[in-house]
Amino acid sequence: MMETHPRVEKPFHKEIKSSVIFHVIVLGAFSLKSLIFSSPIIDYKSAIRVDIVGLPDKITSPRPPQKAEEKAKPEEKKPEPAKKVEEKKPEEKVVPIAKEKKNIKDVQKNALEKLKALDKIKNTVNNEKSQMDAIERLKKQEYRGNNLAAGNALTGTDKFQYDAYIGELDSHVKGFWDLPRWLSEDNLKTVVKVKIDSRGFVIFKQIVSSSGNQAYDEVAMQTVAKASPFPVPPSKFSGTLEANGFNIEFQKQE
Amino acid sequence: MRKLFIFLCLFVSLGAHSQSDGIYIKVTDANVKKSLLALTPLQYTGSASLVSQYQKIGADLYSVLRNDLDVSSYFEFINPKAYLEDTAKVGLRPAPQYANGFKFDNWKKIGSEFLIRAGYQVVAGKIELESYLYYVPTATLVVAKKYTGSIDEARTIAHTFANDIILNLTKKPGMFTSQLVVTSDRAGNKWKEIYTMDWDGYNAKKITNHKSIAVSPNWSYDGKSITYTAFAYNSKTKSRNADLFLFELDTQKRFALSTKAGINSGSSFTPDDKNIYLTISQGGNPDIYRMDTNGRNQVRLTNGPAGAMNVEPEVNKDGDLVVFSSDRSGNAMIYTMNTSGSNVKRLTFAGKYNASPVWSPDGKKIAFAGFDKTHFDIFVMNADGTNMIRLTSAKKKNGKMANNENPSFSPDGRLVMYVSDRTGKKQIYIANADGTNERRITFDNYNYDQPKWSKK
Repeated sequence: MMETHPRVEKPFHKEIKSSVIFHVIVLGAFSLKSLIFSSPIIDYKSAIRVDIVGLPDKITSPRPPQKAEEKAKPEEKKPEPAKKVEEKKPEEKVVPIAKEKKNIKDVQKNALEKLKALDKIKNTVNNEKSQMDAIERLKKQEYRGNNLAAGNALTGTDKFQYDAYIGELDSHVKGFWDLPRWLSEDNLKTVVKVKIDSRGFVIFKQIVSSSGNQAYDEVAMQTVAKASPFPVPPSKFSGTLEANGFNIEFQKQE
Repeated sequence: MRKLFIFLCLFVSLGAHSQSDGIYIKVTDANVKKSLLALTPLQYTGSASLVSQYQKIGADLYSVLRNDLDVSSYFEFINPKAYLEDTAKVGLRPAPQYANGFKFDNWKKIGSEFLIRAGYQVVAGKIELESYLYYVPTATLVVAKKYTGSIDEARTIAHTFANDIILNLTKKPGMFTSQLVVTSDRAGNKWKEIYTMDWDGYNAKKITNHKSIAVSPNWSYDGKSITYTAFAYNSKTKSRNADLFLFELDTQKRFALSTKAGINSGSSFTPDDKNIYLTISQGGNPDIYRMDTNGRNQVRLTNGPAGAMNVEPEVNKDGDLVVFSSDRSGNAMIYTMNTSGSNVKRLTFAGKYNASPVWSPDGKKIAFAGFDKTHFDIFVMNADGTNMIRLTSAKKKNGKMANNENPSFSPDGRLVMYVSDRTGKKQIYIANADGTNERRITFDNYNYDQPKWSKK
C-alpha cells in the first residue's frame, strides 16, 4: 500500500507543472496583447447589461422636509412688504402728523405680522408638499422591484437614458456646425475633447486629433464654443462628463 | 513554484488595466455654406493719366475673375456698399505692416471670410496683375501672385488667378483655363464646322473649313489635338464619306485617320493619347474599334450581336473600361466592357433611348442623355449604374419640355456641360454635377452640338 503512493504522486506532479506552464503562456500572451495593442473604443450602444432585481420594501414614515427649501423662501419675500404698505396708505384718512407717525408704525407692525403669518401658512403647505414628494421619492427609490438600481455600470433604463443623451448631444452639435464649402470636400477629420459641467457649459475643449488643416480645426473648435451650453446631462453622467469629458469627431460623410 | 505563482499573478494583473475608452460622438452632417468673399474693385497701379485708357482691361479682369469664382460655387460676394473702407484709397497690403494699408478689422466686422485685393497696370503693351487673397478670420495671406501677359491675354490672366485661388484652398486645380470644342452652324450656309472656345464661351476659333458637315469632335488629353468626323470630299474615291480627322492645334496640320466606307465617328482618346476608340460601320452595322493615333492597328471590339449598333465609346481614366451605347437589347442603353471587348455589362434599364455616355474625370460617375417619353435630359449615375440623378429639366417657350443632350464633364469633375434647345436654338449650358447652379454659356442664335470639355 505504502509503495503505491510515490508512483501516484509523480505523474500528478508532472501534470500540475505542465498545466501551470500552459496557463502562464496563455495568460502571458493576453497580458502582452492588452499592454501592447490599444483597445478599441467601446461602443456602448451594442452592450447588453443585466441587473438583478429585489423584492420591494415596506414604505415607513416619510423623511423630514429638506432645509434648503426654507432658505430659498426669505429671498422671495423681500419685494412683498413694499407692496403691502403702499396698499394700506390710501385707506387712511387725513390725520395729524404725530398720530400719522404712530399709525404708520402700527400699520407696518400689522403688515409684518401678516407676512409672518402668511409665511407660516406657506411653510406648512410646503412641508406637506415636501412630505408628499418624499413619499413619492421613497416609492420610486426604495420600492425595489419597480426600478432597476443604478449600480456601477449602465443597465436597463440608464442605458436608454445614456443613448438618448448621446443622440441629443449629436443633433445639438450638428446644428452649430457651419462648414464652408471649400473645407467640406476633402474628407477632413478633427477630434475635439470636450468637458462640460452639470449645466452643460463647456469648461474645457482641446483638439486631440488634427485634420492637418488649421482652418478646419478652427471651425470645429468654434462649433464647440457656439454649441455651449450643451443639453444638460442626466445627473448620473454629469460627473463623468465633467471629469473625463467626451470626444467629438467632425468628419463630413458624403 | 511559489515564486512562479507570484510572478504569474503579477504578470497577469498588469494586463488587467482598465481599457482606455471615451464617450465618442461622430458628427457627420454639416451645414455646408458658401464663404463670404469681398472681391474689391481692381486698382490701377500705373500712371494715373492712363487709368481711363485701360479701364476696359480692368473691367474684363474683374468680370472674368468674378464669374469664375461664382461658378466655383465656393463663394458668395459681399455687396460693395457694405464695405467699411474705401478700397480705392487704401493699399493692397494690410496695415500696420504696410503704409496706408487696409485694416483687417474693417473686413472682420462685415463678416467676410476672404478678401481679394488686386491691382493692374499696362506697361509696353503688357498687363501686370498683382493679386492677393487674404483669409480674414486669421488675417493671413493665402495667395500672393504677379501675372504678366499681352493685352489680349487679359482673360487668361484672370482665369489663371482664379485657378490659383481654387488650387490653394481645395488642393485641387480649378478648371478656369479650360476650353471646349463644339460643332456649330455659325459659318452659315447650313454647314457645320468645328470651333474651340474658352469654357465661358469667349474666344471662339474655327478650326475646320470643309464647307460640309463636321461633327463629334473630341480632345486629346494633352489638349494639343482634336479629332472629328467630317463628310469631306475624297479626291481618290471622288465621293463624300464620314471620315475621321485629326487636327494638330500647334502645327495646324490635318490628318485623315480613318476613312472606311460608311461612318468613322464618335472618337475618344485613351488617357496616354496613344490610342483612339471610335465607331466604324464599314458599310454594315456600327461597331466599336480601337486604333493608334496614326490610324493604324485597328482592333474590332464589338460585333453586334445580331446586327445591333455599338457606338460612342469612351475609355475611363485608368484605361481599363469602355462605356458605350448599344441597342442590342432593343433600345439604346448604356453598357461597359473591358478594353478587350469582353465582360459586357448593361448599366441602364430605364428610358427609351440612352446615348452619349461620358466618364467623370475620376472614373466614378457616368453622365449620359436619356430620352424620357417626350424629350432628352442629362442623367448622372455611379459607374456601376446605381444612384442615378436627373441633372436637367427645362421648358421651351411653347411650354413643351426642352431637349438637353451630349453631356461632358469639366476637367475637375465639378461641372457638366451640355446643349439645350430651350431657347429654340441649341445653346451650350453648364451645371454643377448635382444639377444645381445651371448657367448659359453661349448667347446667340446659332446652333451648337456635341460640345466636349478639354481634359485640363
